Amino acid sequence: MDFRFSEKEEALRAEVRQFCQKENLESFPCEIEDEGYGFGGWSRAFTRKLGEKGWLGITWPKEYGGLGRSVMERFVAAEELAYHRAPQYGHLFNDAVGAGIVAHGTQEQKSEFLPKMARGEIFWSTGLSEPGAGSDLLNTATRAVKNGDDYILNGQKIWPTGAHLAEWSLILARTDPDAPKARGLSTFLVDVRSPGVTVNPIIDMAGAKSFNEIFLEDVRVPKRHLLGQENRGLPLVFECLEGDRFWGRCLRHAGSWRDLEDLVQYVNEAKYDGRSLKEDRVLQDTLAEIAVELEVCRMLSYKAVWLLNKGSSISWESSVVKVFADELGQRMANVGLQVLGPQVQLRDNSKWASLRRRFMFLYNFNRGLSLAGGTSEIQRNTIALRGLGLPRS
Amino acid sequence: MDFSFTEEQEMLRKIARDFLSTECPKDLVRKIVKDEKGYTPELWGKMAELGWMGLVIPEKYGGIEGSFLDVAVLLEEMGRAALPGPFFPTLIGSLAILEVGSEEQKKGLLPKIAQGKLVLTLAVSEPDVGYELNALQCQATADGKEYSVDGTKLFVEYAHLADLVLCAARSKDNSGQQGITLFLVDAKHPNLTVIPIDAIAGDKQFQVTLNRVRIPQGSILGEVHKGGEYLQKLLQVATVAKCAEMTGGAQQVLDMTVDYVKQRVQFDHPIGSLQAIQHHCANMLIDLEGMKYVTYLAAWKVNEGLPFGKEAAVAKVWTSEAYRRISDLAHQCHGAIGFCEDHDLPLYSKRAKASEFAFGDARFQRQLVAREIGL
Ligand SMILES: Cc1cc2nc3c(=O)[nH]c(=O)nc-3n(C[C@H](O)[C@H](O)[C@H](O)COP(=O)(O)OP(=O)(O)OC[C@H]3O[C@@H](n4cnc5c(N)ncnc54)[C@H](O)[C@@H]3O)c2cc1C
Ligand SMILES: Cc1cc2nc3c(=O)[nH]c(=O)nc-3n(C[C@H](O)[C@H](O)[C@H](O)COP(=O)(O)OP(=O)(O)OC[C@H]3O[C@@H](n4cnc5c(N)ncnc54)[C@H](O)[C@@H]3O)c2cc1C
Repeated sequence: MDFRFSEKEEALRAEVRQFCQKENLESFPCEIEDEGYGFGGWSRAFTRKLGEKGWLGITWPKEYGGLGRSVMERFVAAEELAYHRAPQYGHLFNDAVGAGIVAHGTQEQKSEFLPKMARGEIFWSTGLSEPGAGSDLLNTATRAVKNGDDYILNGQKIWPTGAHLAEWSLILARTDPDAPKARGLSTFLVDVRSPGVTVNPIIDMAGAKSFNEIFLEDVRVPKRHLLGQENRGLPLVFECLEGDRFWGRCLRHAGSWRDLEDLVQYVNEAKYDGRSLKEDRVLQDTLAEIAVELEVCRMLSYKAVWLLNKGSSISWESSVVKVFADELGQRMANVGLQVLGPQVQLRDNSKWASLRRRFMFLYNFNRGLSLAGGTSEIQRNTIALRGLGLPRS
Repeated sequence: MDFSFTEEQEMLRKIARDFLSTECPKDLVRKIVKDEKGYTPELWGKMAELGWMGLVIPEKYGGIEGSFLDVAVLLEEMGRAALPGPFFPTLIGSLAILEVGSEEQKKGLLPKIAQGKLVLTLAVSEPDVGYELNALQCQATADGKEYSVDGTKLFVEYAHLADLVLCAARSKDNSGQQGITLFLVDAKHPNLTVIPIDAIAGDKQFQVTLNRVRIPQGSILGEVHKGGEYLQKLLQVATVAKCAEMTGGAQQVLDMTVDYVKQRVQFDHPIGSLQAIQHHCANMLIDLEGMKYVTYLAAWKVNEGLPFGKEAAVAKVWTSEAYRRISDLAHQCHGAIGFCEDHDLPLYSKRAKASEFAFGDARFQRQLVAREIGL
């Protein structure tokens, strides 16, 4: 057992830290202000900066614009970016698609997409969910019919994050309506600027323009943009989502630790009803509890990334990370608002007003995280079936 | 980063698990728990033969010279087996002697401990004091070079079996942690009385009263007046050790529950196929995963000689509450059968509660965490 990071990993951490300190992180324009994890928002300009460093495709092969470095190094870099609230969201959510192309793409697809993705020149969304297929992807109704050298796609996708900012989307569609439900689905790399595609942003309850609906009307997708084998789309998607679940959540501890530090500073400085907040034993306990949970969260992520780095599957471990991180995010946002209390709300010029706005946003946005990428219920099903070997009903 | 145990540790785990499952079956545990002795000399002797009492003791004192992570592995298995007896306090006592004992004390005591011939226990808490060392009242009065100790200690585990009681007493009037001295008190001293305390899990806890117990100079452990700081650290090490034991117990509770819900049929299905039960089990696994890694992190830091105060407190807060939640859900999944005294589950769920109190409950430990994060 050894919980140290290697010298190489520490060197990269130091490099990323320096980079964060040198770049004026707050000066980058964000297309999505924050995304609820507790670290920075979505910024095309900053993502390109990461691309210049090679950090977007950090684990990808060098010939496709990557750095060929380890999963653990990617994690260390991401952890450091999260702590500094870098607007690195694009870095993360390219992942399901990037991982899919690396693992299942043709040579041609790899050459066509990976280098551009690694430079932050093109962005992706994942178009899996539909109105009738949320948790139950088997119910996917979007159709793809072969026509000469193309497939013709018709249907509707809903909730893809960032689709209004992305050029491309990974679309799950039914290619064989007669096969058993799980066997007739395929995945396509779809240029959302193609004729027949309409992307409509949906405003979420936190007021952010983060997700969308996509309508597909006789959209032509060339055969060379079929990812993986025809009718084998579902296992591919599940495999990609395993990593996506992890990468989307594994930074909770790092981002939220920063928020906890802010809350501690507030409690140490602020007064309420003439009393210093830091004398309040209940507040101390509440924040200590959050610190404990963030530490647990950190160790759960470390365990999963260690497995991933060894090349092992994290089928249920990633679900553990996801459930824990998402529910902790919700608890923490609630605690933040309780601590900051009503008085900060009343004084917009208070130096703490922005902290409160931040927690109000987190409070609202975090409601979505235990849904996005598979609900907590679905994660618990996975943990029970795969992690504990319980029988299917 | 490496979450794996070494081959030797895996072997130790296997030997311990096999040994305890044959030599310490649950029927025996139930018997021992009800019996006032709280251990059997046969089992103790066999454990000594395996070298367990000397696991942390250097070879030159007759031990095996294992690491603290080895200890964690062994304690996990002991927790899994719900092993009763004075192993735990003896281990903590031997760690104290190793750290601050004189060469003479080490030579005299450690080989006997390693052979299983000497049982130790720790006496810190007092009627008005939990683990806040600042508040200790037990008095040590200098009498020439010797000391005379007066006071009452609570929750002294297995004091009735112990040969030596490691007792913390105030040797100087200064407030705070300053002026505390550690004494190795002969448990059979005529001026020392031992009264059993009725404890939730049938674990053997005692009130120990010292009435002018004279301590010869050779029985002072470490430097006079300087025991406070070391005791603080010893209690933190004990906390981590307790977390390892609790983790093993929780693992057994989960395993037991998963086995049960796979075979228990209601409404024509194994109840383990029902989502309500599956989600209970998933929640148990999430809690247990957390217990493991925060405990391993703390144990690893102890092992590496790195500062581990925060990690120990974090681990104890989490394991205390997680183990209780896991036991609660296990009872819920078992239905009425798990409510019976003869069932294995209560052996664990009661211990979960007892362990929660050991070395400071979550409330106490959260205060340490609060200080660590700058509050
Ligand atoms: C912020 C956000 C971002 C998102 N980003 C994307 C994206 O980029 N791409 C994309 O394709 N989708 C995205 N989604 C959609 C997300 O994947 C779905 O919302 C999610 O899978 C749940 O589907 P649903 O909303 O249709 O709910 P439903 O499936 O209708 O679920 C409703 C409730 O029923 C429960 N339920 C359903 N089935 C079961 C079951 N078998 N067992 C127990 N309980 C069950 C659910 O847990 C939930 O509580 C995003 C969603 C959010 C909120
Ligand atoms: C203190 C006490 C007093 C009692 N007194 C009486 C009495 O006076 N008379 C009497 O007849 N009985 C009595 N009982 C028995 C009691 O009614 C049963 O324990 C209870 O009905 C549950 O049955 P079980 O113990 O066989 O558990 P099981 O039915 O095996 O249930 C085990 C677990 O599976 C869950 N489960 C089972 N089926 C489902 C399902 N369909 N969906 C979701 N979860 C499910 C349960 O909720 C439970 O968590 C008593 C029990 C106790 C503990």
